[in-house]
Amino acid sequence: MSSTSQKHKDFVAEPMAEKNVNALAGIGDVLGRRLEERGFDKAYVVLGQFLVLKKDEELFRDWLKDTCSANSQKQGDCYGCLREWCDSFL
Amino acid sequence: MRDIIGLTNDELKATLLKHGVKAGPIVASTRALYERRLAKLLHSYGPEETALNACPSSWTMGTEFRAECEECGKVTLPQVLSTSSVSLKSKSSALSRSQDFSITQMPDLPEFELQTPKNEFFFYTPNASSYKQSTKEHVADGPTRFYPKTGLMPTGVAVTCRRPIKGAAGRPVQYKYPDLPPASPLTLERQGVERRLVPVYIQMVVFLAMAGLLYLVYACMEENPYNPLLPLLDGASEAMTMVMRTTESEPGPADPLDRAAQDSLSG
Repeated sequence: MSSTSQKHKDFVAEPMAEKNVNALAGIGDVLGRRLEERGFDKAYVVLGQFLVLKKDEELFRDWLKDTCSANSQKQGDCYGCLREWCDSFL
Repeated sequence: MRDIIGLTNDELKATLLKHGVKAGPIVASTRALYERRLAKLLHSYGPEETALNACPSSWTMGTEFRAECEECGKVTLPQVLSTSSVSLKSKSSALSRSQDFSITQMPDLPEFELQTPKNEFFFYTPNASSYKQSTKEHVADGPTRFYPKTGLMPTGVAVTCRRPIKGAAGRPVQYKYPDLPPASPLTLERQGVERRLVPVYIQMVVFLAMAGLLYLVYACMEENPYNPLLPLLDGASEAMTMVMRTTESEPGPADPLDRAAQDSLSG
């Protein structure tokens, strides 16, 4: 298991409130812009999609790939970030 | 694929459930994903050759577990491609001898033989080492497996158990590998410190001796008319005189104590 990034740690440390989608681990400027174009401008909207997919890893990864063409590494980072956030705060 | 698109949300959910997939809410944003999953399931269990015969040439590799046809959007798995490519070449021999692949085997796929090194999967999987191991098995016909054979998860992903990590939860290194000395520098330092410390019982003896001595001093010095201390004082003075007799070369320190004891006795 690879170690988590600072971005991941920052995100899962507190409720996401109105954080931008760029605050998610694995989502940088490019992917964040693509997500915003699709209407996912806040982190909680991506969280909503994650929950609608019942926190299923494969479905969420597919959805990320379809929506913003994230590669496998970034998909995993984002999934892990959201899952851990849900474990703590949901 | 057309018939999947024609399904309503409820029908899609029911069909997925029939294939063992418990789907979540099928809304606008999730429908495409579930359609693709159903297509994958249908193509993996259904006839593979018909899928390929429809569009034999325009298959592209997508993500790790699927290959999409650019023309018609059909989705299948790479094993299907390699299976069918072998079977198209030599249909009769494809099923005659079986090659057991422990990792990427689907339950209903026909087992195909390994003919040449060229007949490889199109993409690199982390289990390539087990793939080579299983080819050796075919030659040597050995019973040992590198990875235990496991079945499929309901989503169609084949998983294997990795070797347990030394020293992980529930498997402390000392229990599993008793001959392995923990070489941590902190442990070595702690062991060194423990060796240098004075044994506990010697510490206790010294402590009791010091306590007894101090009590004697206290008993002799205290001028107290209470009765309970008198027999103790008698005992203390006797002890002091004995000490005096044994150490006659140093009468100095004993004298004031003895005098104090005699004073208290007389007073």
